[in-house]
Amino acid sequence: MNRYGRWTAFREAGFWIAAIPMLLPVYLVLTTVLRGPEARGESALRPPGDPTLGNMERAWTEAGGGTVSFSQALVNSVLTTAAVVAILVVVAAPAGYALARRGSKLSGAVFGMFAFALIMPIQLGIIPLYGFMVDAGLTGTRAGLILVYAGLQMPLAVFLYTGFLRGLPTAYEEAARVDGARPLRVFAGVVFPLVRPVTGVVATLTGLFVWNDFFVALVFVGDTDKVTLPVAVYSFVGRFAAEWPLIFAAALIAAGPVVVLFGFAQRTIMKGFTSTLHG
Amino acid sequence: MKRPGAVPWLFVVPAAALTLLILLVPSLVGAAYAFTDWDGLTSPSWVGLANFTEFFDDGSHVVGQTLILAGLYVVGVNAAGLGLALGLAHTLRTRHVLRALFLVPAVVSPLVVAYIWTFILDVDGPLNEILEAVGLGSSAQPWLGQRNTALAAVAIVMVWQFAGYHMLIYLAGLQGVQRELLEAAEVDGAGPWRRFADITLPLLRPALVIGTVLSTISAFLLFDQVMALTGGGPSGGTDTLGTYVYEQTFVNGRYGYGSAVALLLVGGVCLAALVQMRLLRGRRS
Repeated sequence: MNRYGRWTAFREAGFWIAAIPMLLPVYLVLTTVLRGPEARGESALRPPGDPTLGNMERAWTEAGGGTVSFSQALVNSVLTTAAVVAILVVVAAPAGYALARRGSKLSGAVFGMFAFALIMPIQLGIIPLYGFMVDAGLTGTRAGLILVYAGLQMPLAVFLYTGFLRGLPTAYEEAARVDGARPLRVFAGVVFPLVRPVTGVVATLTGLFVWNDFFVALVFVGDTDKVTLPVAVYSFVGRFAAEWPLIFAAALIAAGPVVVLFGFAQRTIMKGFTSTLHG
Repeated sequence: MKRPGAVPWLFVVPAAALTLLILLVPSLVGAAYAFTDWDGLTSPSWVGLANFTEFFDDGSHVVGQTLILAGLYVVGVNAAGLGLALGLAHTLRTRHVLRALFLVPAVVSPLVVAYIWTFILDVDGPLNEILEAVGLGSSAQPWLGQRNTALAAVAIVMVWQFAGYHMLIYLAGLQGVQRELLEAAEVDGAGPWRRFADITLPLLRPALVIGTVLSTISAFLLFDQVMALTGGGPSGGTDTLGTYVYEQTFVNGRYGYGSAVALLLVGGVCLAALVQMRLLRGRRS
């Protein structure tokens, strides 16, 4: 029933036509960014006659007077995302290990707590949390932002690790334990290398969340020089509405890394998206 | 085989502590603030259900707008995702390229995507330009600047970004549909529509539940796209629960009132998640 006939070729063409709306915004961003200031009034639909990288350079260095340049915001995004992912992996993997291997009522209850936290949106807690962070002197700091992101994404990371480890045979750990290895040794030497597929999923999913998030960064580091890319784009638009060539240059700086990551880690990302669906 | 005591509890402590500290304890405190008039400066005093009654009087348009937007988005994104999944599940030679193409927007920041569309949908933007070029100039309009199109425009931008993500959900669901079954039905003379309605669709039920609930929740919590596309305007016409909570708390400093609305929002999300679990479990047993 799945022969490739005329009807299928027709369908294939149809899907490519349907893909035009997916590609058109990319085209418009590129023509707008590459158009020099002297061709300002031209339609975005038309390819730029004399393409230039001037807008990219301006966004990169001066950001047109925003709080930070987009290169600084890029550095902030990289540092914040990397730190959050590192904390999540180091903290959530052992937690998932313990929850998967301890069959007691208590571990069921703790797992229930993480499951509840998983469906808990941040909207309710963010106000008191903001108060806590002010008291602790952590608002407007990178450490504070990292801590918040790590806490918010922890339930997802623990959930993914626990689920995977529950299905993993215990023979290797048992062998290591019989050889006299301590729990931490067993975990670091045997278990952690075995859960690498989940570590990839955790890193891509939580990394994407932190990289793309706007709300949390706006609340905790908005108006400081620690802002991540989405907030930098937002405050830039607030100051220079309709400066589209620069805004789109910033959009490229923000979206470029994840699109490249998508190119390389497409399968991990797809697996990550679908592995969160079975909760 | 599991020997209790082998893995120390200490392994769970940092993760549990961080989750409690950042998410659960603040949420509990927030739930308590919902019954106070706290403004972030003076000490809060108990006001009972006053915040909730105020919201039901003043905020009902926000609930209405959130529900309209959720309705448009849920139907749009699931129809598009299902259509893409059915078309790109097999046979087409370029299906992998097409899948990737439709999925790419889902990994980009919603805020950035929304700004790109602010430009496209502008009165003088490329969309109206295209409409004029093909002789539909009379239907060119300020899509984001008028009440009757702004909400739908926000929904369309969201569908554009997340149709590919929902395609993944339905592609995963289609793996449970056996080809043999469909082929047998074809041999028995069932047409494509009968095969879809009687075989594929019932087997896709779990995926449909997940797709519907996830899109409902993200419509409830929607914030970034509205902030970028319309800022809640024109004249509050695209304010949704997510942006309303932000404005009331962080802009107007009404922490107590904002917490009450957030509590209702969280209640809605938890309810949606519970419905999902119930529907999925009902199917498994």
